[in-house]
Amino acid sequence: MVTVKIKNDNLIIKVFGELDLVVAKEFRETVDKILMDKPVKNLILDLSQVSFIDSSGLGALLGRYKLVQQKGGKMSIFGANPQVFRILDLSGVRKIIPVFQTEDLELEKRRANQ
Amino acid sequence: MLSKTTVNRQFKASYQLLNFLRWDNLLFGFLGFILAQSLLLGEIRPFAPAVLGAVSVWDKQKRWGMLAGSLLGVYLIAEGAEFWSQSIILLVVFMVLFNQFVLGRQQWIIIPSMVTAIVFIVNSIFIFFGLGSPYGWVTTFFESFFAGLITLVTLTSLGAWEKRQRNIPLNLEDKISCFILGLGVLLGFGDIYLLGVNIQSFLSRFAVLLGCFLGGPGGGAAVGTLVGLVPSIGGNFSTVTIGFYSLSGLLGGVFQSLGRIGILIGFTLGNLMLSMYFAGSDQVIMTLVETFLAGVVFLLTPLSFFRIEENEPEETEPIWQETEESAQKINLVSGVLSELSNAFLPTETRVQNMEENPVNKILDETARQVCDNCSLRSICWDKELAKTYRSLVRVCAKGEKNERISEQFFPYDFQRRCMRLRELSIALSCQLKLFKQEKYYQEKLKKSQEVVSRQLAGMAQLVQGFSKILKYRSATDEELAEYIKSELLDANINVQNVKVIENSGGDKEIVIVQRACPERNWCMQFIAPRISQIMDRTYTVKTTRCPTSGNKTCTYYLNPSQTYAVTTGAAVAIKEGSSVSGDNWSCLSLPDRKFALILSDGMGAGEEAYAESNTAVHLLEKLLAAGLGNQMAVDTVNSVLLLRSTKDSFATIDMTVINEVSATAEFIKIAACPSFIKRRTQVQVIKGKSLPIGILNHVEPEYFQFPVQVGDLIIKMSDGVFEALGGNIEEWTKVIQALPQEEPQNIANYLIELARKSLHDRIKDDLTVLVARIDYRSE
Repeated sequence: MVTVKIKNDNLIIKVFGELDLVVAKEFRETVDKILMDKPVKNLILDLSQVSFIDSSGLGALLGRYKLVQQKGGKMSIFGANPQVFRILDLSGVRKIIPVFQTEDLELEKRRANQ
Repeated sequence: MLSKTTVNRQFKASYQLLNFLRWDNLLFGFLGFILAQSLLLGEIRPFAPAVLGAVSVWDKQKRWGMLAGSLLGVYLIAEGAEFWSQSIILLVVFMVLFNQFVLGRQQWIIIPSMVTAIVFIVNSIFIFFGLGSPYGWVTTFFESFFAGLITLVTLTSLGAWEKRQRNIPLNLEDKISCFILGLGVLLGFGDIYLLGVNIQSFLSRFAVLLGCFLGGPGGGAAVGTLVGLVPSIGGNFSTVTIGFYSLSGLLGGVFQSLGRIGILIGFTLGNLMLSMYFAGSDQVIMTLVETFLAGVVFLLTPLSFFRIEENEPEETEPIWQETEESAQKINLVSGVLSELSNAFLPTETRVQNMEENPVNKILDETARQVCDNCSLRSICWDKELAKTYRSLVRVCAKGEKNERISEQFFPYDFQRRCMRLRELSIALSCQLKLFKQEKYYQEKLKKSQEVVSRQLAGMAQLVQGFSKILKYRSATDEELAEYIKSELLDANINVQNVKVIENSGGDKEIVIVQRACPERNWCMQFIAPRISQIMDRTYTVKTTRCPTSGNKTCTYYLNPSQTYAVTTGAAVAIKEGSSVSGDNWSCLSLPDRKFALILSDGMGAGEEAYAESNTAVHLLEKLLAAGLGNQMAVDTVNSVLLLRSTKDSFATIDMTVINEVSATAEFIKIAACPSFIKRRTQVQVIKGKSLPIGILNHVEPEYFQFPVQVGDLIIKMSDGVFEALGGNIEEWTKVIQALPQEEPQNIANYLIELARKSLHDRIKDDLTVLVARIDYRSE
């Protein structure tokens, strides 16, 4: 499941459950539609409720990163649990997308809500 | 009326007669006639029976002409007992060897022996019955002996004749035999005069001129000496002729560079000088006439006749030159490819041109389409240009977000003023769409250009590698030493001297002299591995004289030693509900004694994941096998996957390239989970953090290099396996430390089984394990 919040030109997406093939599809479609229709620039991804992420989820994340970058925006991820964080780390996602763990969650949430 | 048989017989007889009148039969007849007159040492005539004997076993037709010519020659020069003995010898040789067609090696013994025996027996009978003098026994002995030898020589010459007809190059033995036979013919012409010209002198001069042309001063003098000896061999002992011909040959040869005319002038000068000294005025004139005739024939003889074997290739140097030339050409091709690669690389100026203020372009084009014929044009685009421009830019910005331009997007006063608002919004929408499409295709084009550029750079690198291999393969020891020195220099290793020595076993030992590096072990650290790479074998330092105080140079020997081999094992388990694994793996040998293990995980699962990882693995296999560098190969695969796919799909790459010469393993990790090296009870973890390929423009693979030893195990696994133990590296380290197996295949099976049990047989992702063990290579 995916929830959406738009603040200024930031799109905040919260994903629930496992970011696998099925959820990745929903996530991709939702984000693409909003990026197309609404005047948003940046994408902030809340993964605090994601327990697992597979390669399809990674592909969806990287694909959105490409899209946001083309529009001149930025993307960040926060709230990743240790397992998800490790996968994001191993796959090199952290090299291009800032990923904040739970301790930075409140801080990042605050920043997102500003 | 003639019967049919009679007509056939007559026809056959006339056909045979015509056949006998062929030029080559007549030539052999003439040869027989001349050789019958060849007199050796003034007393013996061994040439005719010897040559007849050889021809009798060699050719059925030519022997008849030869017999007839020889008998005619004997009839003209001999009389009495000599005539009879010579004639009988010829007839007996002909009859005895009539049915002898001995082939193979036996002919070299049997035919000369038979000719020797016949000449000896017939002459002995004549002496025995008192028709010859007792001194005749001596001449008989020599005549029969020489006849045997000349038979052997003639058989070789006839073989040379056949070789010549089949365009087979003649060897030295063939040439010498032909020359001896030629001397025999020259001897035969000793007493033959044509219009007052001695044929022997004429032919001798011609032979010397030929010698000058083909062999220069040396050849001319050598042929001159030999033909000068002919009168002496024939019995007219004269040293003058030897000096005469050899000096003339020498002078003729000196002018070889001036061509045939030059040779002739030099030769004539020599003739004149010596004739003045040794002969009277009549003989000088005759000498000049003979020289003139020989010169005319020499000038008229076609060049192809002289240069029979000129085209024979030299064996060593030209091949090396060819290789050198080929290597240079390959280098040039590499340079061309490199230039092409640069040409395809999108330069900054080109990129800038592409991105040059697109809004201006859009607005200009829209104004041209809509406003050109508008009566308010001068107001909008001249008087209030800035205002109009700002309004339209704002509209464009809104349009970009909303995918289309509505009339409401325009400012209120603009809406009021513009008479063609609807047309303007449509034109602006179209231009904006066009611009987006153009931008999209330009981006695609740029990416494609980058791919082509990278491919060409890779090709240039490959081709340069071929040129290096070509140079190395054809190098001699000295050249190899130079090559090693330059290669070391390329790697910033400066050595003073390199020597390559081939030992008795055919192995190449390398001696290096370099500046001393006390206790830093450059020899083992840098030079031995580099030389191993160059020589494609493991080289180790055999003996070294490490510098003592005051000694500034260090000399050491490098010897080839055993190289390594890789034993592999692989095991796979497929995700539940899927028919194919999204993981793909490959183990392959690469050029330069390298071995690659590739493991790729395609995004997702099933067919799509399989297609992605399969393309990545197969493409990598092909590129690496072709000799492309690791980075270049990965870049190419990334570009191909990126261009091919429109979705957000990708693949991970976990590649290990084991150098079987230097015993090092290079790990290339692209979004892959950790790999492990197990040495006895120690486990080393190799962990990378690189983005996957096929999704972004650029990938930056992470490289790790580790030395490996015999017995080391390299374990690679897909993320499905790694996550089976919660992705815990420490857990995995413990498992690998306590592996109960040593065989790679057993280990792979064991690890898959372990993952399966840990997941309680609920396999959520494809599982693949690759295991490699380093062994000694048995050469």
